[in-house]
Amino acid sequence: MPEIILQKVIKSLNGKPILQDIDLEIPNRSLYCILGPPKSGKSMLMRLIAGLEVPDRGKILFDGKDVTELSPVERKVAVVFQDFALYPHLTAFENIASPLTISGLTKDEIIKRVEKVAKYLKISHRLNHYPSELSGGELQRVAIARALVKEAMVLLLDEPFVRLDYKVREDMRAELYRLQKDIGINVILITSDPLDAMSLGDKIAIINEGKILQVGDRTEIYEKPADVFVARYFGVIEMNFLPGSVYKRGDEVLLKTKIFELRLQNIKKLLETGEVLIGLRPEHLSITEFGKFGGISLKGKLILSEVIGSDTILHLDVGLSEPLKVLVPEIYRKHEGTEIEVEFNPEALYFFSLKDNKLIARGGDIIG
Amino acid sequence: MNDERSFFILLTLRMLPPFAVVLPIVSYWVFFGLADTFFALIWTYTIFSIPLTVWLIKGFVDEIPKSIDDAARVDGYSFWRMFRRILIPLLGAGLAATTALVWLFLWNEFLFALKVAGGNVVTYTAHLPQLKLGQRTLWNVFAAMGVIGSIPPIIILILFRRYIIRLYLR
Repeated sequence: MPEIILQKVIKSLNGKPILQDIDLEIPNRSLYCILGPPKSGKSMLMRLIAGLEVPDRGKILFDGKDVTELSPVERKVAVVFQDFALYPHLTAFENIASPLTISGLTKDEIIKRVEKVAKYLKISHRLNHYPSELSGGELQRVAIARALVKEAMVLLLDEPFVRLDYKVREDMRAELYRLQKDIGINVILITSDPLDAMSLGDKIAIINEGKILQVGDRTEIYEKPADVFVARYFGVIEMNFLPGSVYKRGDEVLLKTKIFELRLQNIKKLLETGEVLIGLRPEHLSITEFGKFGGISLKGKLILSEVIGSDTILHLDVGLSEPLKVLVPEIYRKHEGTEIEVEFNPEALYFFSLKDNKLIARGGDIIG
Repeated sequence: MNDERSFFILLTLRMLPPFAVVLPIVSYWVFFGLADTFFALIWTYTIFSIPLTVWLIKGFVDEIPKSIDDAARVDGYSFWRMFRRILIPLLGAGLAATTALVWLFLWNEFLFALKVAGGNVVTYTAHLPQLKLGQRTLWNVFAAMGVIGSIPPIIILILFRRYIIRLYLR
């Protein structure tokens, strides 16, 4: 169960840079999430760690040992691919057994180990079926079984939930969590779904355009997103953004936006910047009619109320170029055009620089 | 891309009409003293079928997801082992369809059969022009050979119809 370290890894494909200067430390026995939108380079990162590709430059270390040039087998990694990559002409049993057959174990030993892992993953009754006869969840279990059976040190999963139905996806998430805690191997999950990362990752690395933008646990990233991209991406519902400017009036420092004004403290950095981008999470807004708490209130006309399960996302026209999204933790249906008052605690605001899109401060740090 | 270029060069083998190349090929075999032998005809056919075969089989190989190849590498298959255990079984239908199709083309081939062989070694197509006695054409024998000659392709088509249809649907 090695500690995996990537040092200054660079990889390009047909002259196009895919990964640039990747430094990453994946601790022992962790469930590590690599989160990024499609084409961000996360699959290439997975392939490099797995040993399916060799980096152009840089090193990959497993427990301090340089494995950059070693094959997947020598690294003792197992991979569950996005499309499961089961051999269609072999039964589930033969699929699971394939890494063992190659390593030359005896027949009895193979049967014993396949049956053990199949029982653990609850697919014992499906072992004689071909992949074409199995459901999505079962295919995934077979793919995981094939990865686990060889007792690898590292299990890599490439977008494992994308091909599954909503319900099965939840089951498999829970299963993966249980599995990692049970076996204690290094599990690296590559995903483009922030929800996977939030519900599973002990640690999360966010990657975009071939660069690691931020590494941290879910609270860290949620509370202090490194930049606008991370803030936008890492959340259940996309963050609201609005431009604002910081200026001095007498002894006071004020923040002015189209829809509200605020008095600030501790603003050295903000004053330097002048113009800022303000982020406000939909879940930090609440409807005043459910109870006032004395935050900043806004009024807007309802454009759309989108009910998702037991929650509702309100799209409000508050006079910004884009509708303001508000997450209401219950089913809330009103006519289009209804005026709704919402409020938020200014301490929940995020301030980003307009120059480099980096986070400057949270509301809590600078509001007097 | 290098792959594409070599593939293109391979396909250019098929670009010239057989009439343009039949004479030099015959003179090659005459030069080697192998004209009008099974050996010459078989080799000519083999070489001229390569482009079509490669093109068809490439299509079937491309249909196999790349991740299968990756999975085999992670499982520890060597290249040849993967070729034998994974690739060949997965290509089974494609190989069958290609075999049937190439066989059909060659069964009906006329020009090479007549010129490269046609004396000692006679295919059924090359035999047909010989069914003329002076001014008289043996139409009855001609018709009978036509019927007999079409039996094998029909059998092949029936046996391989599933695969051949897939090939044309692609």
